[in-house]
Amino acid sequence: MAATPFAFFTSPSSPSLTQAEPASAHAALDLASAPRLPIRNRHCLPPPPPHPSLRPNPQTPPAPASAAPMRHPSSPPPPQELPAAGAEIQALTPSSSAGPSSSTTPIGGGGGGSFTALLGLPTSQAMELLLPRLAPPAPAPAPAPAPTFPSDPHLVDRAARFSTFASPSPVSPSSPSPTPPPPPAANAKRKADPGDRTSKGKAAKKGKTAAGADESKPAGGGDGEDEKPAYVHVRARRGQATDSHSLAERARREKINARMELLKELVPGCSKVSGTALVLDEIINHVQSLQRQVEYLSMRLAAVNPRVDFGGLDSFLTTECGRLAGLNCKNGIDLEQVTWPEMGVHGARHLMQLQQQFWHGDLAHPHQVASQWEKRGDGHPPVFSNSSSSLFGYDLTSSGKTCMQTYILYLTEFICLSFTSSISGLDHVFLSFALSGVFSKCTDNVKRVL
Amino acid sequence: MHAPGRFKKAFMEQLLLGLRAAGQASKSMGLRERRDAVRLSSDVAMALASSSARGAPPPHGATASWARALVARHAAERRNEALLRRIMGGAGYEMALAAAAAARGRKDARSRRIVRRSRRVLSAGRKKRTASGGGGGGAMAARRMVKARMKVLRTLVPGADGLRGFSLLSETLDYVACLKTQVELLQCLCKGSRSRLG
Repeated sequence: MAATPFAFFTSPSSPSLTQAEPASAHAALDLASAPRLPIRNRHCLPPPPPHPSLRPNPQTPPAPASAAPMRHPSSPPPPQELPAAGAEIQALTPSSSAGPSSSTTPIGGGGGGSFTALLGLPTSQAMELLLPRLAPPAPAPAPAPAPTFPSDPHLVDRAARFSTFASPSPVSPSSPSPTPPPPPAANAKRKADPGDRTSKGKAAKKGKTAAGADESKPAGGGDGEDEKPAYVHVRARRGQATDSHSLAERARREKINARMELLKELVPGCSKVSGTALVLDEIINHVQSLQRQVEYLSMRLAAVNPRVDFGGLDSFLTTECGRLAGLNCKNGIDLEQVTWPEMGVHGARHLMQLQQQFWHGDLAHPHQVASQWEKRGDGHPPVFSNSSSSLFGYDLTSSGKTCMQTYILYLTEFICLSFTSSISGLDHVFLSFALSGVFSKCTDNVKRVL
Repeated sequence: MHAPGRFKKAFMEQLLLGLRAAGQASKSMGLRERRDAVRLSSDVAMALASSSARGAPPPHGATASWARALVARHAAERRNEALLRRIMGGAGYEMALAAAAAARGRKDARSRRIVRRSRRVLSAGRKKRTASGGGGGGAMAARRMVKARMKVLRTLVPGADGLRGFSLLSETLDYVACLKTQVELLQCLCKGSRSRLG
């Protein structure tokens, strides 16, 4: 697999991170944790695909990202460059916390809360986050840097975007200066850095800070921020080899761990299990069970509708499912209004567009698609209001049935399924009993039978 | 990843479309055929919806490979042809066929390469294993377990055959999320149709 290079910081959970100062524990962005290894050991991997803008994107694999900023440190306000990264993280936090209990990617505080988890983010964002870090934020005494930044328009832009962070923001890694990247060009920030570095050097918990080494390269961090770096920097942990191979390997491993944590959140019951193999086991079981469920449900659907003719059910189903699926009623109405014309003239066009996207993997005209929906939706309200209103009166719950009825219904279906799917064995009959009981919530019946 | 609401909505729309097409296309009796039709249309719906919903947030390289492989897998079977054509349109069906053929070609080449590589690795591995001895044995066993599970995962997740490590996990993540919504939506449909009939 392509070793897409990321800039990595060691995770805060690393053993080397026994943070003396509590504030430094909040170096969620983990600059703190980075050992101060001499810069010469730093390795530069080929740059990731450049991404012009940094968007605090709530929909990106947010789980790891949200984890990182969750610790809210009380460290002193960082200078302007730090806010960029911090704001990014904080922007993600509210979005992720406010995010729906999405069935797709539960965002929760998992992910070990490490900056490396941020690697789940697209490369660009990780890079963005990285860059500001490299000009290490100074503890309190560094308000001055702000005015120097305007010299760089790019930075100003970023700072403006994340201006929310002008207030004391959490993410100041109290740790000393990380090894800055090789400065491709001079930058105004250089002035800020030396001061920061020295102060930070003293705050280093690991005496290895080699403050002198850092000072010798003051401009590095600043430059790293301003231009999209030519290199991606991997931070080596204390006591670990720092040759390119191990760095790249470590980068890869961190990526994989981030993904594993995402998966752990998605698959229920994985959080207690530790160790990759067992988690993979759970994932496999989950996927298999989901696939079996899909098969079973499709069998149910086919059995319930003797003709697989869903024409008349559209409007009804959309409202029902809109409710069940958490969409609001209005969406349900729009849905029904647009599905009907789908088979008309516009249908073919929209479908082709959808397929273009699908097969060629790029987004041709997303806005067009959306607008098409709106247009069609507006054009057809009068036609469908009558039909929809009649169906709305339907009793959507299955309250009419007694528990026993539903149970028997489920049971027959399950047994049917187990027979037709060419699996045999009495255990499947038992399984059917159990499942049907579970589904119809009549577990007492199940117990009675069993 | 992608807005779940949007995904569900798109999925549902596609699903209803597909089911309606299935109803029109096959007046065929037989529970199994109908079930296959339902499953096919729901898979296609999932694949199409995932690509469309994923569109805006990461505009580059949108569709996940599992979606294409899933549709290609369905397209490869001849009996689905009519239904697929109806759902996706003739052009879409052609593209699905092309994808299926490409996938098969890739798989052959890949399997040959894998066999060759495994032969080389076996000979190297034997030396390595004797060298590492008991100390590394534990880690080795764990790694082997993980590799075995990855292999199983590759068979489960469609279109993940040539992927390794990180990309495999990404695909799985995507696939699991979409499977979950598929199950939810199908359950919803079931409930709806049942209460209507009942």
